[in-house]
Amino acid sequence: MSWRTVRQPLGKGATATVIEDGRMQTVTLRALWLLPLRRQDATRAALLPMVLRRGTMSHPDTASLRRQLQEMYGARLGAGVAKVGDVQVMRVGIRLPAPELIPQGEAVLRRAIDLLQELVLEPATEGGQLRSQYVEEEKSQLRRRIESLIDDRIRYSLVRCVEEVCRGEGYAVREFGYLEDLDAVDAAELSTFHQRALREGHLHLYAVGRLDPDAVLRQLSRSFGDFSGGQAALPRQEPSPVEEGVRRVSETLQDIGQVKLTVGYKTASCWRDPEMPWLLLADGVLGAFPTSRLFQKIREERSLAYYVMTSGEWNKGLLFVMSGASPQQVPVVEQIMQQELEALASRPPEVEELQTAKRLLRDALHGKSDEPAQLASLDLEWQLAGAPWTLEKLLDALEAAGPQDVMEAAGRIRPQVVFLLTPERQG
Amino acid sequence: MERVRLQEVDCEYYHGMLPCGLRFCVVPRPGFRRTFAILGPRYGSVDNAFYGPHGDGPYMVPAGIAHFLEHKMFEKPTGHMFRRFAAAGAMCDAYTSYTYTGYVLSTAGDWRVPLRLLVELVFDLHLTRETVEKEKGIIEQEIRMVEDDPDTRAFEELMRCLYHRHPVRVPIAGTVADVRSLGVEQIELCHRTFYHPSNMWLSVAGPVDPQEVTELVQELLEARGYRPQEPVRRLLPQEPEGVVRPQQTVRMSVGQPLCYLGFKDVPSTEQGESLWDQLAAVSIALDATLGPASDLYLSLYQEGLIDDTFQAHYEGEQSYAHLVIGASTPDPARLSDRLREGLQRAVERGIDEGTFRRCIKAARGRFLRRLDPPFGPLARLVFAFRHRGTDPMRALDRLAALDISQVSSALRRLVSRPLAAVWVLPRQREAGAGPDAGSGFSGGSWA
Repeated sequence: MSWRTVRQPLGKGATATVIEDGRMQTVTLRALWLLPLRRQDATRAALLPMVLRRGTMSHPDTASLRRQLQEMYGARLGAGVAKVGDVQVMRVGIRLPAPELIPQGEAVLRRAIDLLQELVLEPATEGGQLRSQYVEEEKSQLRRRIESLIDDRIRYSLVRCVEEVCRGEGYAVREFGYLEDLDAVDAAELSTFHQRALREGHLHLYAVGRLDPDAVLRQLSRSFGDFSGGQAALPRQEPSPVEEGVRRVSETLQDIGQVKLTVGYKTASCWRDPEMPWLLLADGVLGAFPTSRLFQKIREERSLAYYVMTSGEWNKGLLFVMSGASPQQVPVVEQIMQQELEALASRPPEVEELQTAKRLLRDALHGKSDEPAQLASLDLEWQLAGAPWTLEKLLDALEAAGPQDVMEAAGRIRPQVVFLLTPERQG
Repeated sequence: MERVRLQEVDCEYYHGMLPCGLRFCVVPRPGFRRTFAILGPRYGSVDNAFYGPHGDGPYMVPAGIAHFLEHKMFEKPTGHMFRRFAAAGAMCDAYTSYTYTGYVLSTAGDWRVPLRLLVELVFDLHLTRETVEKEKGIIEQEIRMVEDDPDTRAFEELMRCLYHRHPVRVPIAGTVADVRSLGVEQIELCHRTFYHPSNMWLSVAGPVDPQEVTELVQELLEARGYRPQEPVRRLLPQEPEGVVRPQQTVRMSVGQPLCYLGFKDVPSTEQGESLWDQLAAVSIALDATLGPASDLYLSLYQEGLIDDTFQAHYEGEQSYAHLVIGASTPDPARLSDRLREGLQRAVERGIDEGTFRRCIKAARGRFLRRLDPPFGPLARLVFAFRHRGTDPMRALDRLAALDISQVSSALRRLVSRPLAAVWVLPRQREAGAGPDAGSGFSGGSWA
């Protein structure tokens, strides 16, 4: 392996993972902050990283912070929010050139780690609260982000389909939160949330790249050693329960020409199951790749659509199939989706198409070994799921799967919701 | 084949021209698993009038043909290329821009068989009337998808506002009517004319041996009988300096309005290092005046006029050049005004030495980031810049030599160019409602 991983607990509720990889020209620092995904917290959790990135104790002013980052050879500051199953993940990160490649590189890296610590623990404040100017400005930014979701027709349809498929579950909560919750948030309220998140949240720190692991770990221990959090138990990742019947939900939008069709499925499995790789292969044969049946049938054989793709949320055992077609042709596309799933659930795949799916999945997984930071995210997903996977174990399990296994996995894929975003009728 | 060692970083690259006329640039990244290779012609959606390979013509073909051809290259009598790449443990994709077409191979396994397939994909054309007809339905859905996308709609509208005659004013995929009119012979003519090694670049980044890459490709192209050929002669209409319309409003279903400003620049005639310097000067000027650390960006952000989608993008091609600045915004009219004033003030104030130094440092960091995986963006950068006529891998040396006066004059030039604005506003419920919301925007050159 081309990299070396050291992991160490820090304080209470925090873990540092340092990955030394001499192939890299950069260092990536990342703080992931985990909380249970809850409707009442989602909006604040989406807002907090956006406010934190605006200023810190030593650089309270956004302009001075950003100019400092430029001085650090264009170190890139990222912040955001995501959901992994029923867990909400807040993120701040900094990526900068490896110390060896820039003048006074070690000092620049030390400054970057200090900055990471300030971003999480010591943001810019006034009167003991987060700066209200930043809170108000980022509220208006978040408002617009929420409002503009509809402008990405494919993504909007997926978000809506997830909501319908997972009614009542954590995963149904929108990661960017809700307009109706936004007005109630102010600096005092968000500061309280920040403090609570520090007490309840689980902090995962990562440093990946060409670096001196001992020195970096020492500094991380100094910076975050007093962390005292982790009070909230993170929900155990469970597959979303399968429901009887298929519900149809449709919405209209003015002046679009194409229908967006999104079908949500449940599989009753998740990363914890040893059979999980079979499901990955069933998805591979069915829809994940351009060689898969749906793409071949719907696009290549019938010219019904430009895109047909799938998206899996394996922590919840969910699979989504997405396509866009003209209103007249949507029923045919939907019918093909149904037929192909039924066919795979009742007949094992051909050896050749199973081999193809295996090769492409293997290729995707091997590719991840070029980016240990990506691999670390996958590893975190597995940790959250309580699943003992490693890249090697997963590759072996994929290799060992036979056609019958894949057919059985396909049999567990149950359609739940058909979501349609359709053009508003004229007249 | 020339080997270039980049001082300061652990990186070298190889470039040159094969006996068949193909030019290449290989950036070996040993120790990694995934290789990206891009092969493709300098042939994009704007190349619709040209002379054939034997001086025949001139020919005029419908818009959208380069993109159509890109789709059709994947179909061979031996099966769809997606399947054959997959069988070799690789993925392949393609894209068509205004000026070139790129076929992108990526594999974390052995790259030799996939590279053979890439050559076959690009050079061997097999069309039948049936397969051409079949593709029309797929591309029609692609065009409809893009038409429903507010960002793309705004950008395409802006091109129509900026350009009178240049084909960059036509969407890359053409219109549904263009696509329906295409026939086998026209498509074959375009392949014959443009898909020649002398009109192509190969860009590879990943754990490869450059010697082996080039030998393999030369052998495959030699077997197909390729010899170097004269550059393709293209015909382009004379484009006036001014814009067509200074302002245009589009109404569609959007959650957030959009505002795009376009500055119509004069294409550069430079090549090589001086072209790179010009493009870098523009990029530094934009970072200094409109980047996330600039006064203008921060004040627009604080006013709530822009968000993280804000970007300034310069495209400097041989036959056209423009700067596009845009974002989703609650108030397109106000953002247009504030951008114009702000840029004008930035020109008057000039770029100070401190800002210039910081932006140079940040640009060095950006280049270093590009050398890390995934190598797709690196291969694409090399491919695009090489087609344009310059080498992006010399960035560190060239940045060190860049002068503040070049940057200031690039900014001054851009801001003095004719401009147009496109606003996307939410559709009003009552049909045919009054005049567009635009006010106080005079348009035209405001130097």
